[in-house]
Amino acid sequence: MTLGDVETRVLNFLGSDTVERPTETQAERYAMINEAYVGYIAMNTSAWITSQTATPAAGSASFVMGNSLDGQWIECETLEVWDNVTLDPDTGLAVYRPLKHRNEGEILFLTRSQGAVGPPRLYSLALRNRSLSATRSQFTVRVYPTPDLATSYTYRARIRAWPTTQLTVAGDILQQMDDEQAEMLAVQVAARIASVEGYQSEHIQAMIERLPDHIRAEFDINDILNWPFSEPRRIGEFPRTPTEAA
Amino acid sequence: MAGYDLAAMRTHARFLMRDPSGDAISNNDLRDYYINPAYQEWWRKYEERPAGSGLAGAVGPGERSVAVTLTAGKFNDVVYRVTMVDPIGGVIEFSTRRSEFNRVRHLQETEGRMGLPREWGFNNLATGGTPAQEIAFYPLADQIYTFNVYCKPALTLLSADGNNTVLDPVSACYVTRIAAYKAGLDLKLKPELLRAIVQPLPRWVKSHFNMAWLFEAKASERADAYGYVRVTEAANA
Repeated sequence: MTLGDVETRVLNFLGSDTVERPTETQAERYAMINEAYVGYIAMNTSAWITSQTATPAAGSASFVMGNSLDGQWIECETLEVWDNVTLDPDTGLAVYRPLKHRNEGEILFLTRSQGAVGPPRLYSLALRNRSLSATRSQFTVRVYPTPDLATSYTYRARIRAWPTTQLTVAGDILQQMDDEQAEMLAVQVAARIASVEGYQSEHIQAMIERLPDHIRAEFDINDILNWPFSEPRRIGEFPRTPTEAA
Repeated sequence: MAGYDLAAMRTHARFLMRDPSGDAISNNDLRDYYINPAYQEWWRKYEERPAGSGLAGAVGPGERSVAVTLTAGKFNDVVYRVTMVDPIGGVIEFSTRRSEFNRVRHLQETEGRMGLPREWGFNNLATGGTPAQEIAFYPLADQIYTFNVYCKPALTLLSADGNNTVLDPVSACYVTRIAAYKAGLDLKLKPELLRAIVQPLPRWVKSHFNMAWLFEAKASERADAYGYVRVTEAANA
């Protein structure tokens, strides 16, 4: 789905009659969509991407991963290693083997106490820096056993990353998000816009009812709609819709 | 620069405040009194990360402490992390434990072990706005070691429309909402609108920025909230 598609849906929820309703500019709608988009990706989208690979010099037990193409990492699922030789007999592609994660201290301790040399099995990942001028993060990766001097390895990380660019024109595709999630996003944006513009509570409630519970809980329906006259909620109680209350 | 720059933040904030054409507050005022302070406060509260460029230093055998001068304007006066460069591995840096200056000095003068420094403590010598640190290591170095100092970087405030924050995109949007909320309070906007502005913020942000008392008290999830145990208390008790 594209930015334009989401905007169309938002307008449908808000009502397209621009004479009767308070209006907002397209730039404002885009700002609200972008805000919800990055928030949704951070919280609800579990798409993993493959970062740029790193091929340090042969024998290197530590190297830096992450560059400007990756952007800022939210989370790293796993680090995989390829010995630059083994290929899948069927596909002819490189065979990457996942490494196990350990604390940085454990890796250092193992290196200095046992000091094994061979194909790496364990890794640690520490934030090295986040560039303040370019939007990216870098990590110091350590591996154990220390790779033997004769062999070089290629490493790749499976990460979740922030979208590197905002959606700016109608044709921009929502990355890492399927159509159903984009529909949810449109509802969420429409509800937020409506609450700022002072829509009637029934109208907002009708929009929010389309959302799944965990997102609906974020809206705190009783509070936002009847404030300040709402009843307090009890622990674990979801907001009541008119249907449930009936 | 494109993306969520100052101009985009302002558009966003103006939409939230229902002041699209700047009738209530000028662009510069919005930036100087609300967006930048919110940005700075967010930075101070939540952004703990090493700066991009480390500052290199060296500690010699038996040396009690080393003075390090940081570049004013580039770093705050807080040392974030000190790494030692492994004399064997060459380029490998490894982390050292953070400790307290006087404790490190005490260990140096009592136990006085020598070897590879494993912990550090800093004494703040900042005078006249120039950050400077005196860093002591323990165990005392038994040879010359090179170390790198990572500091908390100082923030550059937003000034031109094209300036971007250095936050992740979600935090940048939170900053805008906080700024719009503070501006809304000063402009005496309706509480319902203020509520709509802060509503998407997570609960921890609302409580850290003193919004919770206004919007969350009645919906508190504490077990003693109204609805579980009725707390009766005379108003003037």
